[in-house]
Amino acid sequence: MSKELTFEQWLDSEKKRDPAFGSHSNGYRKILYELYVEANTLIEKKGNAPEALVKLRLELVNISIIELAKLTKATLNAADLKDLMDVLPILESQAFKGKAVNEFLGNLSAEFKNAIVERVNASASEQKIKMDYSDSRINAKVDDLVATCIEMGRPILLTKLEIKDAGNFDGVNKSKIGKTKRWKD
Amino acid sequence: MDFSDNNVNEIFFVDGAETALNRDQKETLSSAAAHFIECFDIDDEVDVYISKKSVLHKLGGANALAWHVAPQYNRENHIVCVFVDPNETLKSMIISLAHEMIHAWQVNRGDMEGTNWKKQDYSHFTYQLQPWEIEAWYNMKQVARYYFEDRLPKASELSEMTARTDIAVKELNTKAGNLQLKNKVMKVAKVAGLVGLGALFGI
Repeated sequence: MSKELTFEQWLDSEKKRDPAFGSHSNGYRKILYELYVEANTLIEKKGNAPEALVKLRLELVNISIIELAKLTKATLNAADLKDLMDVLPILESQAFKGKAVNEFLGNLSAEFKNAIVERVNASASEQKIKMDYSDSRINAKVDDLVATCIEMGRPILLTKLEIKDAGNFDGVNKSKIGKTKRWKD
Repeated sequence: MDFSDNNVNEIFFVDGAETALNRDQKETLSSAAAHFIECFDIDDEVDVYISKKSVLHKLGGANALAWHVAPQYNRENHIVCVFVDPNETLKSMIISLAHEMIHAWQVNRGDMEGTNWKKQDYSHFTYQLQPWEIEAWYNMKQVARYYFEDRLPKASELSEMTARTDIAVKELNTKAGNLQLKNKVMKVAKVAGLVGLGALFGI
């Protein structure tokens, strides 16, 4: 690791890297410099990634349930339901229809992820922080949010398509008894 | 816990089982329950509760793997409960479920009513020698196999099960007819060999 920069040196370096950096308030610059020092110290001591920055990034991946519900609803509204609508009339049981909805939502994972990333990036950008989605902890948090979107999206779609929830077991404690699965050793 | 009836056969994952089991395992248990109801053509409502060994476990006794409660004056559904035990496999849970479904069948076909079997009271018999338990213990693995092999029993197979129970119960009554032996039946748990049922049922 190179020698730790003084505040002035660090500020010059950041301004060269990002011309918009100069518009930050002094207070915010100082917070970022402290994070830089903390990260530097950790790397010096442990050879680890800058944990403080990761913490900051992880914090940005927290999205409230209300925000997530809005995001889920918007993604579903924008989704093309035609394929799903086409097959529903030929699926005999409510359980199969429920499974088709599960598949459809699974296929929407990428859209949910994009919407989440966009939302997180917007918050990060406000704080002039660059997100690093290659970090496994950040990635895992995003994946959790995608799973929550799918969970929230299921009842929305079932209601919209007038499907009774016959085969839903994830997160639901009761279900109609039904034959949906053959035994596999 | 609300055990009320609603004319729908339902499966409930409660008391920790909802998180202890994954979606596949839950669907498998639901499918096995549906298969057993179909095997026995049970037309009463059957609600299955899958629970971790805790609250519901206490209702069935400390060592119970599962239990069944018949419809009562205030509800018309059978309650079947099977426990999720970390030491047990999904297969053994399904065998326990088959055992309890046999009890639901016995009540549904009218042979079992409380502690009466075909109108005769067996409350004084030990657990192992109660006619309904003899039938359930002897046939539970075979009934579970109906689901594992994805087939329904022939009418003759079901008749064979009940006929075998009839023979065993008749034998039991003959042997237990002697009052002295009856007292032993009441007190001695491992009496099956004594009355000669061991050979018939392997107990």
